[in-house]
Amino acid sequence: MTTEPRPPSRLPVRGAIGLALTVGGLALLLSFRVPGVPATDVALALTDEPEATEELIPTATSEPVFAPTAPPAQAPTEAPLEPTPGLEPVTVRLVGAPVAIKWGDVQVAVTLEGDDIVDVETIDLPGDRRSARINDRAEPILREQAIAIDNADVDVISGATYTSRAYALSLQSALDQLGA
Amino acid sequence: MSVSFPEAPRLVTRDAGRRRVERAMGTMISLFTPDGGASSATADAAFDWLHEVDRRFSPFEPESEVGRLMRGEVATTDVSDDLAEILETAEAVQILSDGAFDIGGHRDDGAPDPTAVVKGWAVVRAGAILEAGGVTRFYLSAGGDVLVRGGHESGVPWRVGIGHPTVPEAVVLVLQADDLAVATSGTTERGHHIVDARTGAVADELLTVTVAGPDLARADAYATAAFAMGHEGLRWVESLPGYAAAGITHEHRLTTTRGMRRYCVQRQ
Repeated sequence: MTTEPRPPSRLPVRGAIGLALTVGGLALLLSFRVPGVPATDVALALTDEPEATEELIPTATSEPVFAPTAPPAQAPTEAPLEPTPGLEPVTVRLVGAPVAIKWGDVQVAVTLEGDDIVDVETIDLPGDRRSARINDRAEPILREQAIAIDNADVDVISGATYTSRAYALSLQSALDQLGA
Repeated sequence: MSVSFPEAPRLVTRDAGRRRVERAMGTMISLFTPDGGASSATADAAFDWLHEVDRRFSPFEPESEVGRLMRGEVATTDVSDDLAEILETAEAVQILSDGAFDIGGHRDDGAPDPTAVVKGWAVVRAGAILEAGGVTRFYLSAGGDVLVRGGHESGVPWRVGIGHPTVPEAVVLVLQADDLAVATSGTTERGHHIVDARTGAVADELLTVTVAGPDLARADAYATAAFAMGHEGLRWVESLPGYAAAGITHEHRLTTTRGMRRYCVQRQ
């Protein structure tokens, strides 16, 4: 199964998340690109209305014993690529498809400012006891982690979880709405 | 619309000259070549090799050499040079781990199943094909077992994240190196339990074990053995020249061997 060659992008790929998951022997490679057009044009091509991200208030949680290695989500670590003078990056929020895993559905929404991922929300996570135990701990820091990995500039990942595969699939489906 | 596993996910590679993903050896193999070459004839040859490994060494193909070995139709002393190399690696790790890693022990019939070694071994060979063809900077990932070569760019090492055991999209540690093999074992990402072949006990001290070192076949087998051994396994890896380990406990504590620290670039 060879991926079809695609025409070269006019802008370098940015914000690509490469995931290699050991889960059940599947790997995901996520990537998205806003083609080399001003961000406003991109937004016009989307069916989703740009909307402000609703603020998810992290529920109280026990802190993980070890801190994430990546810095928490802050300002992007690199300047926006070829910023268009006089144009503010357009913020869009895209909702991914729910992805079923053994314990329920995983669904995320991604918010982009221009072509930067600025937020990833978990809309749905499995609710039964087993996964809730995992996800109670995981969910509140999910958003900043997802961005943190972008900032951490990790090339490739060794090991991952069931949830993250579904999460990555849903995230990919959200990003797919941008088109290639 | 809901997508159910285990359907293969749609893979999106919009950077065809530098990224390539194909299914082989029961997993997805991702190749990333920062300088290009992922669509080259050299990369074709590397992936062709992995597909050949599927045909020759899949335990699920009755007529594969491994299939015949497992049925006892071929003696371990009468196998191809390639399979002999795989079996030697497996045997070496079995001895080094005092039996915690046992290619026969996890099967009820005791038939040798070298699958645990085949993947890493095949990826190393695929990497050699790439390098021989002039593709000297790349990562190859076989379902989370990772081989990096040549650095990301001149003076910039690769950054290999160790996946967080419960937080998607998060890493617990970033390893930095130009050339390195990194393999992770654990119940969370394998979907089945690893049993300590010495005792039959289900390994449950650690959530994951990651082993880094020069060879991916070894790293993968060491990670499997160390995971089965639990905390003791981390100390065991530390005793192996050139290899280092990081383990995550059920209490979400991260433990690394001394040798791992040379690769750790970010840790809070």
